[in-house]
Amino acid sequence: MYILCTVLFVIGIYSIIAKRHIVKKIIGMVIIEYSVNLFLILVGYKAGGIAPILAKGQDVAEFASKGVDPLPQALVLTSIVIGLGTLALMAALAIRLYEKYNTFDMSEINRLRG
Amino acid sequence: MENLALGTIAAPLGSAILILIVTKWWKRFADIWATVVGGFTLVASILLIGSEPIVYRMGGWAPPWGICLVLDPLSELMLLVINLLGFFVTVYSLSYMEWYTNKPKFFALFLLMMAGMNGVVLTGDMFNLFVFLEIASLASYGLVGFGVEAEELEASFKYLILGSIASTLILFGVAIIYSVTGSVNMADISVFLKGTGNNAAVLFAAVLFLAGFATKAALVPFHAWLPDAHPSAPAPVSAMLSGVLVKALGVYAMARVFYNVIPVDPIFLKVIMVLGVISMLVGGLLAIGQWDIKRMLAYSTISQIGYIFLGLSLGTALGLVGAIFHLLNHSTYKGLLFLCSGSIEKATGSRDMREFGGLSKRMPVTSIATSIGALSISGIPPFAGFWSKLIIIIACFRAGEIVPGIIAVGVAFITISYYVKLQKYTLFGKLPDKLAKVKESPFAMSSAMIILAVLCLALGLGYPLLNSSILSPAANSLLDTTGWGYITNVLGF
Amino acid sequence: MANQMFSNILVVPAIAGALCLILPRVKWIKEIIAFLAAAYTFYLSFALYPLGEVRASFFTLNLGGFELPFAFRGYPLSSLLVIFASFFVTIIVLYSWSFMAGKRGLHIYYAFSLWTLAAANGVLLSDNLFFLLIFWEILTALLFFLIGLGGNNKARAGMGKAFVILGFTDACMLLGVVLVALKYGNLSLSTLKIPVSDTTSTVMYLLFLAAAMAKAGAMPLHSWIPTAAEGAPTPVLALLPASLDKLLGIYLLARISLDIFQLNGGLRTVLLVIGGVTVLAAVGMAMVQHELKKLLSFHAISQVGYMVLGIGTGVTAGIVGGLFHMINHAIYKSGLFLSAGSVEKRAETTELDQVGGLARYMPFTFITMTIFAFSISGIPPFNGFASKWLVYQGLVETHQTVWLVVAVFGSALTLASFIKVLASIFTGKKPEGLPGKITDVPISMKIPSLLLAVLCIFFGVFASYPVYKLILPALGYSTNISITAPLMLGMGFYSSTLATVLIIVGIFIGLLIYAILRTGKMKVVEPFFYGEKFPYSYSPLTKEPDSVRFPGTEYYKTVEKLGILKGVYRDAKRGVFDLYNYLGFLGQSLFVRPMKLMHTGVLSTYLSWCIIGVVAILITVLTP
Repeated sequence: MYILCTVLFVIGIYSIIAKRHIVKKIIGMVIIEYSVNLFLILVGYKAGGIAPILAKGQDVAEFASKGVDPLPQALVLTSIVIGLGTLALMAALAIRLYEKYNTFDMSEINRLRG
Repeated sequence: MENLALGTIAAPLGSAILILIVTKWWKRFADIWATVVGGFTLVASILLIGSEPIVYRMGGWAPPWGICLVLDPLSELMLLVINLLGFFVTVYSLSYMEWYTNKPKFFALFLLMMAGMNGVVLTGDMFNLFVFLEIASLASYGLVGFGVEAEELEASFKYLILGSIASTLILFGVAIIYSVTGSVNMADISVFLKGTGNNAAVLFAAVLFLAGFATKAALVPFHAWLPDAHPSAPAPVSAMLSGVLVKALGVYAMARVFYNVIPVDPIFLKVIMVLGVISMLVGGLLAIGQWDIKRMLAYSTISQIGYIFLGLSLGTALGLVGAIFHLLNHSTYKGLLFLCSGSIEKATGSRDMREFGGLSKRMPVTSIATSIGALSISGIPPFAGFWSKLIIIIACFRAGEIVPGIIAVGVAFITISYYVKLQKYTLFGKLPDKLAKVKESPFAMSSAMIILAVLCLALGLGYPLLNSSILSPAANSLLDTTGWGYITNVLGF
Repeated sequence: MANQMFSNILVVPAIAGALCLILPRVKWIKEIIAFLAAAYTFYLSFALYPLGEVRASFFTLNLGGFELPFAFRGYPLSSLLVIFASFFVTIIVLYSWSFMAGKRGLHIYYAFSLWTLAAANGVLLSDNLFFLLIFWEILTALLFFLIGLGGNNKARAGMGKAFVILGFTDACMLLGVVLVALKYGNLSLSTLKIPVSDTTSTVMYLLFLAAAMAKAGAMPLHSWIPTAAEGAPTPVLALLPASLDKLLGIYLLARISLDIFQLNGGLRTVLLVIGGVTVLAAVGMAMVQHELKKLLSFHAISQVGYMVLGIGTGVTAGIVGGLFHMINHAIYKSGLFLSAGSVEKRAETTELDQVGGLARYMPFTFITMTIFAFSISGIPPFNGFASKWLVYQGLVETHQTVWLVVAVFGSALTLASFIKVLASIFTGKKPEGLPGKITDVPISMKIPSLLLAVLCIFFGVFASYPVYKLILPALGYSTNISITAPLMLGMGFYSSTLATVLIIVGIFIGLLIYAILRTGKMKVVEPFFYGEKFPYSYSPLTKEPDSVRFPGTEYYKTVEKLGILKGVYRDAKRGVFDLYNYLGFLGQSLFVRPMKLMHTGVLSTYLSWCIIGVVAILITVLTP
């Protein structure tokens, strides 16, 4: 699973650097974010673990040994929300950029230089 | 006191939403409320100066389990820097933002950014650091593109992509650190790592932090977004971005992580030093070649941030005092210079220095403020910039780093050259015919500039006082390796 | 007592300057305040000098582990120069009353002039290298704004160049101060003694030397002066590059070369080379200028060469000569600039080929300017001769024949170029372009010139007075010699008073011979024009004698066209020898432009930099 995480990260980086299309760059960005989210989840994961919710009548010792770490899940939720915000902003900017430059090619959007 | 600290985050955060709602019915509300909130956070941060370290436990949970805010001398100083400039920029924006259409939205984003920065410097928790950092960054992406012209959108998008990658790297780092130590509380992590030492995973996380914060702080080679984003933003936002955002998100976070969280490791200090020196040189040289006044200021920020990191990387008390003092000074004079550039842009409708000349005849207040800012940043005594640069240079030589010291002196000269260029082409010489009718900016803008200009002088003359009251405690709170002061404060043992 | 005195000398001009800035813009108020403050400082400085060696310490600044006492020391040389500095500011403020009337930014002008005085006094009196550096940098900044008051695009170029060059040397000095502080832990001018033996101490000395040279305007750091001269207001030129900057630059040179660092032969040679080259090259440039202020500014550079030569000899005669020349130069060069200002005020131009025949209309200016010109050219019995004589003595004593020849030759060329100045401004016929009615300048502009001219004559005729009563005591020798005594320093012997009598007698005899022989026959010859064939177009043979004009640009044109000199002059005019242009160009094309090109504005490029950065850091950190 960690390998998948790394692969996702590399794919994201590749797409964000090598692809010129603005939407592909955004997708690359999202892939990177999700690879990190996946990593966070994996950190807290235990093989054969149960949801970290203490149900009525459950044995506390068994819960503590089998339950997955709840903190990363909370963190991932937050980071997904943040990722959503970023994605919305990126998409909005992409649309506005297309209106102004009439192109989706990011390497042609280079008026600011030097 | 504890609530005051919390208030510096909560007040702007709540107001950001409140403004958007209330202005539906009452248009002037945004102006008034933003000023009130700005004033409140400024007063709060002044009151907090010199207070004993405070740990605020959210929801009553004790660290390391609960979320906590930590106010130590360094955070006090950063709060002051942020809110000081924040307040004056708010006042300045009252009339500057008349230029743009949607002032309430501007203030909402602006307050959101303030809340994010205050959060970054107060939090005692790696993950919340990331969250607040993202709040501030997202608000700043929006503010950079606020004018929705082609260049502004382009800058905003580039800033967004590079900034998000940096944030992701930081999150990645947090995740790795969590997997190693099982905690996201800074003090807790520090205790754990002091016990085990740095293994490869921690080093990898540290590199990720380094790269992430270096991007936020715009160190070369992670700097490329800054010269696009800072000039494109509206002038008050540029002042905020250059003045405090790069410092709160970059310098402060880097200092905190590499001094208090991860045990001080000479190799990282070396890397930071190299990055700092390269930034100083590259930023300075590129600034010489600029004709766009705000772009020059932006490159100058890169160069000055290089100074701060150079001071930071020495690992000595003197270097840290120099770095922190330079940080404080840079926020005042770079803020001031960006406000001046905004005032000039508003009066003349241009940012190209080749079209200016002789503006001192038509805009006396702006000119005096610009000159004071420029002299201060070029390191001319008795202005503030001279002292902080001098301390950094002395610290370099004291620490035996001869070559960086000599480069720092050389860059001081480069700084003089491009600020001479800025002053002579904008303020002096013959007034072009088409600028014969430009007017001085309105009162709100002028007053903010005057006060910041006076601060440039006052900070310089008041160095001995500042050193004992703010700078040295802040430096010590970073450097307290023997007493583990930071950890003791937070964890209470 | 001493504390009070030192603080007054600094604080009075500083506060008066602030008053000039903030007081309401009522007519005359700032002029009067400025004059009174400068005059009062002048008065105070007289009280300081007789005290001899006095010290005072105010507070101690702790900076980065260094204890830096804010201490002052009334070293006799310092006190002497404080007198002169206050004197120059006073008369130039007086001169500016009418000269600057009606110009923009007067409150800034007067305020900054007074602050300049305060900072200059700070430099002269401070006993700590660090505070000397602070005052030094403040002076640089003030100079920047004072030049900028010219308000035209030439002033803009000048101010930029001045600040960049001086800023560079200030940075050098800062480095020097930090190095000295780290190595010796002591920055007191009075106790610091550094033998120049190894590379470190040589580097330290050179760093300080650069600061002194740039301020005084010696080659190769001179080029800000001519550029500034084109645009700055004339009183500013008289105040800073002509007088105060010379006093301060040579003061620092004297302190570092004589007190702090114990020089070895190699560094002396460096000083001699700088001095000699400066004398010759600058005067060569001055010959071909045809704008009065620019011409004067090249002379201001050339004369620095004598002072450097004098101090570079390292023997008493030379050092005294150098310092005496510094004072003399400040006197006559500010006089020359003030005269140039008078001409500018009335003729509304300083282009030498556009003025002429002014002697008839401005007799006072003509006479004073002639005195200054003779002084600078080293004609006895004026003061310039006396000090140059001492410098020659120093060179003879140390067997520096080459530099002696250079110095004498430079002096001759100076005379030549001032003949051009005097002739083209004051003789001949008034050209068409000038304002119709030209009168002499008002009294407030005459008094300064008059005072300076009187000083020129006094220091020339009674040269022993300043040498034995002012400069030698200032260097720590006690003397008791009457003021008509001859100058006995070095191997030569020069009695200025006797020389004056002889010259007067000579002139009288000459007049007598002329009167006697007047009745004799005259021979008609082809007209010559200062050693060259008269330019055809102006020839009296083709025109009415009355319409003959001697345009300034025609002088010494052959020099410009002479063999190798031709190329040298062409390059000099293009600024090839100007370190500022040269390094500026080099820096731009080597570093700035390539780096600008690298910032292509393409997001992918920027991203790849980041990735490369991360990978590089990873490799550095993770390889053990």
